Amino acid sequence: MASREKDLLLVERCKAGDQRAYNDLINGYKRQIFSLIYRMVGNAADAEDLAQDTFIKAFRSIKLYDPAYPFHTWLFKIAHNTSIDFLRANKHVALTIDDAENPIDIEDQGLSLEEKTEHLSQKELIERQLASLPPPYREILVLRHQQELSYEEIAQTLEIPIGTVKVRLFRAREIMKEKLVKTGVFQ
Amino acid sequence: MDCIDIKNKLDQLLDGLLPADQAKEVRTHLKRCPDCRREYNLLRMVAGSVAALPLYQPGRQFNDRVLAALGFQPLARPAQAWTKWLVGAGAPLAALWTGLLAYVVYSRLSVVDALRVLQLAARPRELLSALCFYAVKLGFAVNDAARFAAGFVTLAVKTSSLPLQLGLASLIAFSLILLLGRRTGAASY
Repeated sequence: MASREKDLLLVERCKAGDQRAYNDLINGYKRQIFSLIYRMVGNAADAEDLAQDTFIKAFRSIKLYDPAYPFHTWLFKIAHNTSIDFLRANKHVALTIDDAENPIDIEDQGLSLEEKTEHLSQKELIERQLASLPPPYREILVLRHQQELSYEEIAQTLEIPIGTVKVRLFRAREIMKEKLVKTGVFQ
Repeated sequence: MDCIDIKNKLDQLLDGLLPADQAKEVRTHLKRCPDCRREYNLLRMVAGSVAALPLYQPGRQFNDRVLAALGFQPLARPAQAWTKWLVGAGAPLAALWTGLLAYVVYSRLSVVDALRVLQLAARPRELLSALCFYAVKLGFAVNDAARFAAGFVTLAVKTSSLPLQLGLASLIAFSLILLLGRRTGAASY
């Protein structure tokens, strides 16, 4: 991930209409944004469209960006909102997890024993188990462990209190742990 | 702290959020409690397994599409490394090839007499005639050069000399690469 100072310089150049600065920001974050959205929506074509929308929205409102916050947090927030809008529009379930009446299904998604042991590599198994989590859980795991965002940055990105970040992350890890033990990835 | 207290703090330990004294206490407990140690190791494995998942690359046109939506023209693609290398290696050979042809053209032309040119310049009608003469002569010279190149190719094809054939093939290939390199090596990201 690019440094904060470098991002701020690029943002200033973007505000002045410098095309190369836009291009550099895209190059700096397109893999992270695309990967996050891909893991949210589970489809590469949709993920690419949504990642493009994310950058277009960000750049069109770049003058509204507050330099007090890291640029990548702002970008992740736009990616998060774009993905959630898409999932809502496509009527995906389990977008919120705060509702205690909404039990979370942590069963395997049709993985046979053969798939577990022969056809799928360990990374593919982990990817599948991650994909089987409800979107808020898989998103917070990716933000914390793959994108290495701090609790504060996750709270800013998802627009939730830090206490909620802690609880959600705790729960997401627990479910993921159970799944990986159950599928034999972890002994 | 008992095991329940410890397990409630494992997440914070993993994220480095526990105060130093509590972290020390939890670590001491982990050393002597296999159950809690297993829980902690599983948490670390969850974190590590997600962190180790790949980052995916969007399509090649991704940047262009975003920039186009903002009203920009696509940026020129950077030259590929292999093209730059081949251009670097091929340029001297291509220059040799060009020089050889230029020599053939030059050798068919008479050396221009500067004094004669000045005298002709004073008489426009004779200058025009001279220019026409040299234009025709240049045409013959170019024709000679083309015949020379064709003869060289014919010789290379007919002869059984592998080095000659390889030399000719490399000259032509590098000349083409030089042309392609000029087209692709302009601006870059």
